[in-house]
Amino acid sequence: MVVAILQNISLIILITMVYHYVIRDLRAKPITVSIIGGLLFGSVSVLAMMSPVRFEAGIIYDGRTIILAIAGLFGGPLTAAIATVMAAAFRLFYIGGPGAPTGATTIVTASAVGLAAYYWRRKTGKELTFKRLIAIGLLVHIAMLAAQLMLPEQRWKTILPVIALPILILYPLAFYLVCKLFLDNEERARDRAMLEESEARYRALFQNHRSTMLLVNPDTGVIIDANLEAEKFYGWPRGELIGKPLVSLSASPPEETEERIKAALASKNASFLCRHRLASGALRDVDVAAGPFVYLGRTVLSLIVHDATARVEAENEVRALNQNLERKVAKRTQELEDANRELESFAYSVSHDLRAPLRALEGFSTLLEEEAGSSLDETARHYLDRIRRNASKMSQLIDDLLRLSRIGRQSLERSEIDLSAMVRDVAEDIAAQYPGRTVSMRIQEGMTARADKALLEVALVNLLGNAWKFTASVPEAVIGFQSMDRGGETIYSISDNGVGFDMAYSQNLFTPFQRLHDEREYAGSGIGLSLARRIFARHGGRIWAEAAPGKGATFFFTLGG
Amino acid sequence: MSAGLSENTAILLVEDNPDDEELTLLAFKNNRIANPVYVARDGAEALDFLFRKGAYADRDQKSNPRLVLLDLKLPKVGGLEVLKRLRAEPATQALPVVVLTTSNQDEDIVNSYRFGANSFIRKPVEFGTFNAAIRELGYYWLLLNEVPPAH
Repeated sequence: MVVAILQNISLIILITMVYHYVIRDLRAKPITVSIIGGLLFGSVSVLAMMSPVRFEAGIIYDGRTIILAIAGLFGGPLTAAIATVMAAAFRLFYIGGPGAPTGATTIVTASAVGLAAYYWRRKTGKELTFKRLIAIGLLVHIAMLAAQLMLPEQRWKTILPVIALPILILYPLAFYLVCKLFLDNEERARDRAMLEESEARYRALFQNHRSTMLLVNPDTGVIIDANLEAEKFYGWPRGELIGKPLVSLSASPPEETEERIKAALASKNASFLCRHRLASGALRDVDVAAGPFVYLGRTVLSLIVHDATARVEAENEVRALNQNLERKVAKRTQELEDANRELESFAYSVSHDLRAPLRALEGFSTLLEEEAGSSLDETARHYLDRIRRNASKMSQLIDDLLRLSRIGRQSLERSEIDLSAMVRDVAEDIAAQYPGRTVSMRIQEGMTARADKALLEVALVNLLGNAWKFTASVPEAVIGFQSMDRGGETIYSISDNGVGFDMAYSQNLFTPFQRLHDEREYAGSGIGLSLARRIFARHGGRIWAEAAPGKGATFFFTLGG
Repeated sequence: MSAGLSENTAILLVEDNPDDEELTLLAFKNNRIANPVYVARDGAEALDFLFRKGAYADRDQKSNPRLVLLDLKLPKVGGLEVLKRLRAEPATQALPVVVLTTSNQDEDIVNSYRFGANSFIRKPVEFGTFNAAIRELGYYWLLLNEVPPAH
């Protein structure tokens, strides 16, 4: 009997395999699938009933419960209904016999349990595990055994002990196995649907993408696909692009293109700049991103091509501009260096060649005075004196001029300076040069500065010297030195109560050899303030003045960073 | 110049400017410096004189100088070059050289001392000051200063 049941089950498995190949491979509407499914399940049930285990005439046992439960579980209501009607009709009217009502009931309960499981699964979305399938199988066959109670003459008493155990062990297991086949099939179908969908998506993406894209056979180097943008860019219809060797697009030597294909296949992604030829014959600089790509199960080379002509042109332009600029800068630098060297040699000549004649002038007029002084009259001696004074003055002017030019060339070395102390020292030195004068100095305490010590001292000597000089006629001379903060910048100032000057002439104040006062009254070469201005300018600072005639002057300066 | 410096009395004035030459000689006279003075008018002549070459090949040893007054800006061979060459010769290595020039450019002062000048004096424009400088200079280098003895 067990062997007979096993044979029966094998038949079912074989038949159901045929089912899902037939059903699932047909691409049909759901309702059609349900109807065909119902007819198939019904037919298979009928087939199963035609090779049963025959207990006695009219009482047969077969795998129909398994088939109908599956029809319910996987096929749904319509499939289950069609299969149930077919199977029940066959059992009642074709086979008949004393087991007919029991057999028909079994058919109905099996498909009902399967359908209940179908709804449970749809509602909860739970997975059909081994345990759950076995439980469903047991339920179906407990109902089947219960239906045996309907047999006439209480035959169940003799039948049930024989069939109960094999049925409750083997049928749920067979049910599980067949279900497993259906589940695998379902999963495969889902995978294939997803694959088809992703392929369709990919095709759409590839075709309509705004980038120019090509697919190339890596073995032959021939283009196997091109998108719409590629048609537009290259100017060949897709049909012509496909089949063209990639090297025929490239303006580079073929070996280079082949090298690049190899490199792109080896690495995940390669990008390079090259030139492609269009259908029109025009050349375009292009950025190509290339990499291996699995397409329909094989590795191909994908190329994404971007027109870089505008960028390359812009780059070339920038490069040309840069080179031009560099050339210009080099030329200017050379010019500046030349000018500086010229200035340097000019200063050298001035100090040598211009002074020598002065020495002769001065020397020989002195000697003339010594030799012939007694025989010269007053006027002649006065003229000689004028010659000598002017030679001395010119010598002083040359020295000042050289000092002025040296400040511009000298390097600047900043250090922390106690400015209050420096001003005090300079003031003391100047005071010593004017022994007869009393000047009251008001120097703010605690002033500091970051500047070149030697240069700053030269500037202070000139500024304070001026303040001294131009307060000579004032009975109580007062000179102040102070600092203030204006918007984060420190402004220093030197003020005096001297003769001052008219601001109308202030634009000449810092020009070399320009004087605002009579030389006979106030000695000096007129270089002091231009020296000071140059020194502050070298520091990145500036100098300016405020004054009024007879009301003193104030000079302000800053020392930059 | 094998004789010891201590026996020499002459002064070699290397000067290309005739005005300066005359003024210097006048200053010597004013200050009663009676040592014999030889004048070389460019660097090449100075070297010929010192090394007894060319026109000075037959020069008497007695005219060997005790002091050289050297201008820097000279025709043919510059003052610094003269200084370098005479310091390279054993005979003139210890010879006192006073650079007497118009310039007071920093690099001239630095280079003069580097090449072995004993002193650097800038010619003052005022003759009075110049005269005083020559007096001090003669007094120091010709009277006070001791030179190495003959070997």
